[in-house]
Amino acid sequence: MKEIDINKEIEATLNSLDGLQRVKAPEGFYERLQARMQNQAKPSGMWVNILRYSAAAMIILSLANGYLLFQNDSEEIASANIEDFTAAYFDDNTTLIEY
Amino acid sequence: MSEAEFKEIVVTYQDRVYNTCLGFLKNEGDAEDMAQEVFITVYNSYDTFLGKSALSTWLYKIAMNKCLEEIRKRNSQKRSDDDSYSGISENAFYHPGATLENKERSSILLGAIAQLPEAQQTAFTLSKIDGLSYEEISKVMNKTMGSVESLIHRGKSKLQQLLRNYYEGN
Repeated sequence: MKEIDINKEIEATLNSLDGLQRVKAPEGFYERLQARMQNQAKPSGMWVNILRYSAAAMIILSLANGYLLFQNDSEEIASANIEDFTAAYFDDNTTLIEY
Repeated sequence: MSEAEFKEIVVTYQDRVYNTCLGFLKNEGDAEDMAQEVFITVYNSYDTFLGKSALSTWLYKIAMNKCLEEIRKRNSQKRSDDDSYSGISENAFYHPGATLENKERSSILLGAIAQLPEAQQTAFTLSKIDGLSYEEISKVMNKTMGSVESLIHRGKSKLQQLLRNYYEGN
């Protein structure tokens, strides 16, 4: 290409974006955006299942814990009653003769 | 932000945001994805928008930053693939808004704009593709009007050089 032609071509290329039309967003842009936002907000199926199993395990462990605590308390009350009874009726300072 | 408010913003600005993303990314699918990301960011951070600038300026800023981030990612990938390249890309992108007679030349120009340094590329894209005034560009880029003028001027000189190399080689 000749020098003059090159200069003309450069000038024409530099001006080639003049009068460029603004492009419209594709049809259904808002609907696709909404769908994407809803998908992002929804946790994936795998995580939902993990959460479900974790919650179930927590509930089972809490119930087992509560049951064991209740059992210990009952045993302590029972043994405390026997000790009270022994102290009242068989006090170290008393003998059978005194009864 | 209510759904109705959000829808109004999207419907009002979707063309402008899409057009900006297309100007930077030069791919229709990528531009739609990016425009959606821009609006998701707007939805999530609308409370932080103080209204100091116009809503359109804020939207252009978000779009510009996200596109530049994507371009940086692409460039670093390209650099690791091929270190030697420094001319106008042969992967032609025909802007759908270009007139038929300018289709080929505008594609070459867009390829050349992509070779400019980031700030010059941004100023040129906002000016030539989005049709923003220097004042609007200065607000979006957080620069003075003088800086924007200088960026466009230097960008034009660099483009002339790139185009000369291109036409002399073809």
